[in-house]
Amino acid sequence: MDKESILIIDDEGAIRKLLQITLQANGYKVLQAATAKEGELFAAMHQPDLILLDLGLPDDDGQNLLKILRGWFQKPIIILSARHSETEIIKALDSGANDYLVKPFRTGELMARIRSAFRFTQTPNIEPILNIKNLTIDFTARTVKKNNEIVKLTTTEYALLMLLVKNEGKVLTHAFILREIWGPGYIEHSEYPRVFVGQLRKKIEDNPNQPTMILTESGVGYRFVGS
Amino acid sequence: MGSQSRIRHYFFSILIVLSVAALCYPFTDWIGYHSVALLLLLTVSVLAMRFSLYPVLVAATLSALIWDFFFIPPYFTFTVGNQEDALLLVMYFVMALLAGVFNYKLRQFEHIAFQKEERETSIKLYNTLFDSLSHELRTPISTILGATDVLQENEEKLSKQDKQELTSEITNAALRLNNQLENLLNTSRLESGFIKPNFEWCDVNELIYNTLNKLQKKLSDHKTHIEIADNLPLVKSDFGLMEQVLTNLINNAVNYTPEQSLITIKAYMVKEEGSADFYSEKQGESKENTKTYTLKIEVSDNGKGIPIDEMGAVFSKFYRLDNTKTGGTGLGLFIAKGFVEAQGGRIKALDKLDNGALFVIELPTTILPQTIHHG
Repeated sequence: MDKESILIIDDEGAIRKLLQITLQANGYKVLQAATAKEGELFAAMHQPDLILLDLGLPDDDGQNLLKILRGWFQKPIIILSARHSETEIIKALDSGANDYLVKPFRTGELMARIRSAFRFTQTPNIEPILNIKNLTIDFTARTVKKNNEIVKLTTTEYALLMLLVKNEGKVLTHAFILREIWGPGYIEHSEYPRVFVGQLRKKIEDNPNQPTMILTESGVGYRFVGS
Repeated sequence: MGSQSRIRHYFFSILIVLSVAALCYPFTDWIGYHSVALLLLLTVSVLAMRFSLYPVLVAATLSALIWDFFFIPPYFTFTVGNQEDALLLVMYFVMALLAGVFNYKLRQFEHIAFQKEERETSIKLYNTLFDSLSHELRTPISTILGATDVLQENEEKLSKQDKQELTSEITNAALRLNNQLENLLNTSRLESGFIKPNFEWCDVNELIYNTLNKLQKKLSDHKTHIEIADNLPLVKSDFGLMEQVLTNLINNAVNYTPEQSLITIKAYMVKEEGSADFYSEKQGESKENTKTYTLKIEVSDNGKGIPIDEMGAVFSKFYRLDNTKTGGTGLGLFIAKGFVEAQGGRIKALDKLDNGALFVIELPTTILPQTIHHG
């Protein structure tokens, strides 16, 4: 298999250097761009397999570039941001970013996110039966078993679990979950995801208070972690 | 001062003097023109309290002329009938000018004194800030510089374990720096009034456990006890802000108590009017009643506690308990208070009967009717 190539768009030389060393050490091919203009050009020229995009670029807002890239670029885009603002993150996720990391981040975390983003794009067809930790999901029979015992889920809970599983590793914003499960008419009912995630955790997590599968992204949404 | 407001000052000075003169005019025979002089003098003095120097001087001159022209016999001339009136006019003129000038100068002095006082308090504040800040920031920076120097210069001599220890020191120092930066940013966010809470439905269980899970490493040498009331409804608050508040309170509890101390976190809901609690509230009852609930979260420890005379001060910026060895900028509780208040809540430090510190967060909130359609 060819090495996957990753394009870094970040104006900070030190960060690019660090990312380059880390990514190369993990077997990825690295491309670098320091401005939005350069980033757009390189993305079109080299067709990278993944883009790491910093939101604070000197010549254009990263959010803008994200929208432009999403016009044609289908592969994963992971946002790097020095701004700790939830609205900023939600905006980027809603514009099609796959994931985000707030600086300063640990390289271990970054590598995990990159692997998960690649996994997400490489398995478009979900197996009929999926094993995640001690859960077994049978998509054809629409059943979920925990430690080989059937878990009784309501239709909504099942739909929510499916949405999370299909987007494994990806952060889903509250608004996205609402839209997908309940439809655009329910956008005011921001309490629904919280309530149903709580119920689902009670049924599938070993300890609903220390979830290992449905993780909370503070103020942003939820992330399903399967491995 | 803008030229527009200066013009306004002139305009109002003249207008007010003219109006007072016009008001007095019909009553001249009745009150006598000496009283009119006193009234005009009073007007000029009042103007001097508000307006800047030159408009007041104009008002003083104008009022003297008006008094002479309309009120001192013979009327409608600037000629003054007798010696006594001439003397009065001169005195009036001088007094009006003096009143204007003195009042203006007085205000100037007050302003300067106020500025000086303000500068002194802020200098004092900044000294405290610099003392604790420079210590808080320099310590990790020296660690990083020292560790990198050692690593670069003694490449061969160091054992693998030494290297690992040094790099993990660098990590800890960087995390500490980042933490302090976060505190400083939050403080300036608070002071610039930049905090706009993003009220969303929050699951209190999720909030508390998510915070605790993130602090797992920090809490590894402490015991925790968690008491969350059953079936707590969702509350309206800003998840991110509340998480920061809890993090700061728990961090404090860890920093100010010896290892193996017990940290207790409680959460429950109270109805403001007292009597019935929310559990007995039937679904579908009047919606106007919803803002009467208060979420209470308590964070307590069994350490030494806060001395009673310092209880009120702990939330002040840069405040540190006396003789505390632990590092810190004294911003944690200040931020906690600011974030809770930004959401319309309150935070208190209380005296715990069996020793230890107790912090109570009170957050007024709406709650949902308990029904959500399943399926």
